Amino acid sequence: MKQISTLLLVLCFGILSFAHAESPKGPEIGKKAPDFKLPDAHGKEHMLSNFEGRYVVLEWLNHDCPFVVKHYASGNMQMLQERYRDKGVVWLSIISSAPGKQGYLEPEQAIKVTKEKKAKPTAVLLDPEGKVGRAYDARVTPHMYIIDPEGMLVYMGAIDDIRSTSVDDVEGARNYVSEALDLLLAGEKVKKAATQPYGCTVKY
Amino acid sequence: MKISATPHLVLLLLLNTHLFQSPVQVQANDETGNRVVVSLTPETERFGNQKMFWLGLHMEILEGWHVYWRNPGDSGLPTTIHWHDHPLLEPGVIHWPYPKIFDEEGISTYGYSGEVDLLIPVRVKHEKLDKKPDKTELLKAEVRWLVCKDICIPESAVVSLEIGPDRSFPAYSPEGKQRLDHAKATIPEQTPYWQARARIDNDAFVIALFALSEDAIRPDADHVYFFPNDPGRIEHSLPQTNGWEGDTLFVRTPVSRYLSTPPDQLSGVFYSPQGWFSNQETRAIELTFPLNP
Repeated sequence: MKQISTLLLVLCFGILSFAHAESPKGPEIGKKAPDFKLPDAHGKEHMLSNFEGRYVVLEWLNHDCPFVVKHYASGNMQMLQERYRDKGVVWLSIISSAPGKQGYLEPEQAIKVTKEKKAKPTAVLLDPEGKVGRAYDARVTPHMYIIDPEGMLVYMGAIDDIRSTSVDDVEGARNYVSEALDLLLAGEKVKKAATQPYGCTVKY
Repeated sequence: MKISATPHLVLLLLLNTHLFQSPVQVQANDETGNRVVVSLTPETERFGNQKMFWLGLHMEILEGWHVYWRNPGDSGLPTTIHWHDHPLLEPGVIHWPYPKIFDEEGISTYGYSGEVDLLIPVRVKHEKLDKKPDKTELLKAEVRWLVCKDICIPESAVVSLEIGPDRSFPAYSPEGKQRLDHAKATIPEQTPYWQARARIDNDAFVIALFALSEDAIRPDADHVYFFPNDPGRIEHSLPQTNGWEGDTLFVRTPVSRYLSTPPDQLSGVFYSPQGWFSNQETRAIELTFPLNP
């Protein structure tokens, strides 16, 4: 009898009252991506809403994070930046590390490192106060977002499906960002709009 | 590491008990510069008669740093072991002690600090035992892990275990055996005497747990924590809300914002500092249960 009542209770547990889950912070898929204005390493201001009409990729960046090193040492990130910029996509690499924390770069250092890594983003944006990082709930590096020409968020999450720091894993991984961009540029919908991001924590 | 949420702090302290019973002062390895020193500890003095035995991958972690559980949480990576083929021994998959929670800047990860033994069952290839090895052999493996504090460093090492011609382990010690016995008690128990079901309600998994044994106890709901085996299921950094309703314990944990398609089932470890049965020894149970739409 006791077991039957337990089972009944289990079947009915939807009606039980619980405190609601905390609302998710950060942007949501299918909704307007938070607008922002940030300077690049050369001091030029960039505003997200100025890129309306184009697809925009946001890449959270910390060059000393081993997960980021994996994608730059293999040339994977530079290849993606070049390939999609050639197709008209805007690629913004954002550094949200606070001064004194890993990954923080002064503007002149950011220019130097970008050149050394042969990185090809549209711009490297500096967010030392972490305002934009927090608005996007950017948790790790690399944490990736894609915004459509109407300013809606259409992808957020990991760069690919192999959570590792090993360069050997780049080839053979399912790259969620290029998969999404290829579909979007072909006029189709993104199949996997959110994936669990992996990487180092953003050093706010 | 900054500990931000009070409930997590309580849990962290509760979870710490198994790891801080024998504190060790670990120093970075002089030769490699590694922050984690790894070695293999056999449970037995020699093998030959038994079908299997346990091996511990002992990890001594520099103070202030941590390594990760099978589901590392919001960042990090689990430790991996790549075994070299051995003629007589076949190591299996890692059995993970239940982890601790590390909170940092709104991010939560699961792992270990201080020291830990990851347990590996080793099958003895009895069909090959007749082929007596004529010299000492080594069981070898490459171990990779990510060790983090405010920054993360990937580290690796080759570990080996010497095997004598009489199939003995010169590295065996009663202290090592005792440590492995202690580690075994931290491996979540796969039990048929607790069962669970889950559904999604208001962006949260509501997991109903119920006991099928008179020997089960009613753990304090506030101290129960669900560690999902897979990443990307729950919001690791948000609190879990638990409560008893009759004979059913409900665990409510927010669904990950990154979960596109809910799976058919969930699996993971339920931790209770008071245990789950009257013996109070089983602090962690591992369950796989259906997720109904």
